[in-house]
Amino acid sequence: MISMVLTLLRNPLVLAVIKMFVAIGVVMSAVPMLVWLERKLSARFQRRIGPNRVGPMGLLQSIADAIKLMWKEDFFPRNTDRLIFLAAPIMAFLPGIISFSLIPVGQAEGAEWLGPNGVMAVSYLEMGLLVMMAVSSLASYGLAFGGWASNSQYPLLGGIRSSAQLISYEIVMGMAVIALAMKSGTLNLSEIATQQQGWYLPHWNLFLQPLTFLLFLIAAFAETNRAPFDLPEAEQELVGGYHTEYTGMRYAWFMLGEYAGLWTMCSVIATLFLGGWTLPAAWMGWVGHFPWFVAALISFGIFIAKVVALVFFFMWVRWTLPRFRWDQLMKLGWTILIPLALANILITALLMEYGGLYVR
Amino acid sequence: MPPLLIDILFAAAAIGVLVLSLAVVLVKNPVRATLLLIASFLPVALLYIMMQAPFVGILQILVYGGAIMMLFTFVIMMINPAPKGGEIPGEAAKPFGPVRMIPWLLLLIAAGFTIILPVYRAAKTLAPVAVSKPGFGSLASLADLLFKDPMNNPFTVSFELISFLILVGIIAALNFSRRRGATGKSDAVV
Repeated sequence: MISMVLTLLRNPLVLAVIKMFVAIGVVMSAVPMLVWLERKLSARFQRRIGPNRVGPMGLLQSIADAIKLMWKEDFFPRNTDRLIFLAAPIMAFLPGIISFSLIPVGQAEGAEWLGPNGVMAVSYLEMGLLVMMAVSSLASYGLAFGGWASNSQYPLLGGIRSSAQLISYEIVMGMAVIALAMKSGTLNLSEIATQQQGWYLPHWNLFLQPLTFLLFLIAAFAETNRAPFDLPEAEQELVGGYHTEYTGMRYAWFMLGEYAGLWTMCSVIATLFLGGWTLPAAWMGWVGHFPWFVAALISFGIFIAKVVALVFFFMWVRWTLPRFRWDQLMKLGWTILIPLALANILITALLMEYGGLYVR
Repeated sequence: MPPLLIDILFAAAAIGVLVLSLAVVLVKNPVRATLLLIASFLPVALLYIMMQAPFVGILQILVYGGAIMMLFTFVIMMINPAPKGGEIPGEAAKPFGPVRMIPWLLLLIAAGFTIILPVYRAAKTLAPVAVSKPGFGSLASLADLLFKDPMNNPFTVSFELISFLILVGIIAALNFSRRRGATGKSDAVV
């Protein structure tokens, strides 16, 4: 029976379909947990208790919310462009899942049929990092078009803000990635992760490229629209911004998209800067003794632990820092971060040519 | 990739490109046209990838689909030229209808023969080449082509010159858009 299943798994087409479902399943099961975590953490940061009625520790609160949202009235504002109004929440949601499929989540040593070197990912693109940037740059269209299609002033402002913010910070992120790609010599995400394994901690790109990490992190905050960069929704100024006119399940798609984007962005940062599924010390030696599925589970667990730690950091920042003013956001992006990113490329190039720090 | 799969993928991408870009011109609402233009870049990227140029295909989405169209969206929403969802008042007669469709269909066929057919030939001839030569069309081979032996490489010089041209363009645009007597203070509009 088990051998039959294993033979079936070795069929590349079957394997690809299963991997896709697993990737979607990971994101879709992570999102309600993230919503719960955010509510619990924000409550703790504000000395409240948070949801604690549905399920143990309020764990089922997200499911209760989802059921509530599904039964809410399906509301259309007057004179809207219905097609775009309907499509916008889906456009905001899809990029999160698509870019997660590019990220290697673990390594099963000795299971070559699972992928090259047993690395577990849906796709092993040579230009994975570039594809990831391309897909995630499409995420803000959902916000922009949703805000426009609502036919209302506050959502329109939110949509315009989201597009302007994305233009500014996408450049910073792209330039940060250039420095990282120069150092790594590849755009393949699993290769970048594998390069960072080693016996001591400073193999991580976080320590080799601290300025790149800082720039990428700030741009990631801006791209996921989280505080202090949550200007597109800004409850106090824009009454919720782009999703003001959305109700029920369509509003839920926006929320799902936001948390799926957060999850994917944290996975990307973990892969690029924290070594992905690898542990800094003594990892390669002992894992070879395990059967492949134990190695797969351990490495997947390490990866998830890193991502959850990053998610915690993102939430911590959100409930600690106040929101930027609009002109501060633009000034930070164009006059500080972009010159800094250019300088970072120059520094990396000099270090590679003369410093001998990044010898491959 | 089996030849039949290439044909099917190509047909889907080509029809997608033609129909979507025709719709960009015909749709009256500018925001819808923007959305259709973004959507039309996806099959264009697929065509590039089928011609064994994945880097260009991805840049098509990243640069044009992601960055430049976002700028278009921003500007169109700021100006907001049409009442949302409705028609522009006093608009000329509808472009659709059996007789009016004939020139559009002719245009579609002409575009199919002049642009899409060479792309199809390239995709067909390059597919076996990519199988026989590993690394064909990859990022490394592209970098070799552009920057290997920079002293004798014609591509390196033109590549660098184009980057200078873009820099000059940026500086010119900045200079033209700067108002006289501007104090340098930022005026927050949005």
